[in-house]
Amino acid sequence: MKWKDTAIAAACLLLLGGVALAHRVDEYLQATIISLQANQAQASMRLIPGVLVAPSVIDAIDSNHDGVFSESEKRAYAQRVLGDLSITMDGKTISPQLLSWSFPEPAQMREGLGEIRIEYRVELPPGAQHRALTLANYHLNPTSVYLMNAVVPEDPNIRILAQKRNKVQSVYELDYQQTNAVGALSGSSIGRLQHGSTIFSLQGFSVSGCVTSPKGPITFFFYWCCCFPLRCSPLARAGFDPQVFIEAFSAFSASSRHSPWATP
Amino acid sequence: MRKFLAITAAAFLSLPSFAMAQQTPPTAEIVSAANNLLATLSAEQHQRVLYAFDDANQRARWSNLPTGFVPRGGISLKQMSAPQRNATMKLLATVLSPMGLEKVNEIREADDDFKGNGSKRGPGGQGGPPPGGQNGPPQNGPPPQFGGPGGTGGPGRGRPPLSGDMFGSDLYYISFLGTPSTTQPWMLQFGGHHLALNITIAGSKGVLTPTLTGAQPAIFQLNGKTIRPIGRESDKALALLESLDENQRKHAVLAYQVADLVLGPGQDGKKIVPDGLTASAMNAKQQGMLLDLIAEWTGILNEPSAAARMAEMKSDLNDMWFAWSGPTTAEPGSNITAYYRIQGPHLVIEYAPQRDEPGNHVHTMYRDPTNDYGSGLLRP
Repeated sequence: MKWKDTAIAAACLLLLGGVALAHRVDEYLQATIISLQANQAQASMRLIPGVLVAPSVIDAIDSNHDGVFSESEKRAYAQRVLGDLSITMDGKTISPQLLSWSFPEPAQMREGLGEIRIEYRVELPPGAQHRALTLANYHLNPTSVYLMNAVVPEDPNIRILAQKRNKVQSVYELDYQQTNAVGALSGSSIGRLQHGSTIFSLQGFSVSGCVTSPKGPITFFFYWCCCFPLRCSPLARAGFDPQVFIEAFSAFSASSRHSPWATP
Repeated sequence: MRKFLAITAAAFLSLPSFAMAQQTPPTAEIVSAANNLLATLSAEQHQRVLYAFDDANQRARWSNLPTGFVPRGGISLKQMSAPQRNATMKLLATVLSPMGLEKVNEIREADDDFKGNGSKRGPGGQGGPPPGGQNGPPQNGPPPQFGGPGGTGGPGRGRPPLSGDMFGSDLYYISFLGTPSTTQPWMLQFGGHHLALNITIAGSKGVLTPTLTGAQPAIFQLNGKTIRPIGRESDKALALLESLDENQRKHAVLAYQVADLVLGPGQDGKKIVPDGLTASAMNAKQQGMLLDLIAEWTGILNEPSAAARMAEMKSDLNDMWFAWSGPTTAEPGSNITAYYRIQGPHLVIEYAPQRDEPGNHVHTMYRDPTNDYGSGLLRP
């Protein structure tokens, strides 16, 4: 089936000549735009297989090979795409939730015109002020080209610090500062700080966690000696802002955070 | 003294655009030209060419692709009589600048060249005319969703005609959203393969965003003359890049590939996180070069509207970004094969060579994420 489709596509390409060259031919364009919010990120993916790539994509979607994309096949393919993503927040893997999908007809895809659209969401666990959201797309890697971008956040508490991409844009890291994250940490009884492989779970006055990185004990010491007492001290209750210490702590944490950045 | 001279020079430079912005824009002339065209149309054509101002589907019904693949609304030049075509071209000459009209015509001429000669590369490097150029390929299946939502029913609102025309300078469509008016907002759309002009007119103000231009071939010969419809956009960007010093280039030249437009059809109103070199890190000459490059898009519209837009660009200058991805050289007279993007608070420009024929197939996008389809003008 796959070979037959490929042969048909190649024949179409030869027949259409320049027509086929008016659009994508031998690549699978996968474009993602991420919209970042305080507690979640929503992503919109456009997947456009070129005329020579379309047969293998159609084959992957149309699992029963009846020439029609059923709803269950569409959903299964959308889930497969999400399964080929690796998303981390501050180094911790988070799972995408499928929101919606739309597929063109197989005939359109064979002409290199079809555009698959997939929307998904990831919940972002609370964290420190400096955060790193990383997205790696491994879906049909050999034939794909990628675009990865984020929209400018509407939330004034979120400030983008840096974007990092590998050469082909299959891996994207968004470093940002979330000012209300500190509020969440200090104001609520539950918060979480992550420092590479060192994770502290704060619950009221009790701390549980594991300290495994070389800088972990220093971070632990720094936080408990400087930041936490200030938050609980009479100074804090009198209105003293310990923000400067929290900032320093966050900067230290971010500087030593292990990045999952890697080129596949 | 130096400061005084700088202020004086800046005031002098901004004076012409300020003065032009104060001139009465030719809205009345545009409306008159639009009404002249509408008066030539039959009742059936009239119905096909007019849409409601808030018709979201028609607003988004544009694409880089040929009209045979992505049907446009309205009526094409091919479907018009000679007087109707003349009236359409007069309307375009009124709403666009001479440079803008020339660009539109060269894009159409490129499509004629493609219809006759096909791609220079062609399958297997042979080229040759596409069969769709002459008679059109069969149109099987529903219209693609790519490039905008497809509607159903009504003239210009469904599948492409089975005649299947694909390429050529007469396959460019005109439509109106709302009624041409000197006081109430309305839109004029004109486009086809590699062209989508979305012009919103609200009183004295004119907005050109979003607009797509492109060409394949992007270099061709016509009557012994070399035509490059998007040539200045290539040359001016390369000149700007070459003017950057090593440190500036480190920021401007991205370390990653950009395979296509990020904010092409269907991506209205999105403001992505910028990348590259900020214009605030450029010297005055480089900033001037950047503005001159931007003028290749702002200047498509008639002069008063273009001048008002350039005044906005100048005031945004320090918040602009310039990013480049791909080869940093090009042969003289040829087009760059690199992607570049200019971004500002009210601007996104993308220049994206297509990977089938990078120097000879180009798409560009011009947006104002705060004012696509004049949305900013219409806010209370």
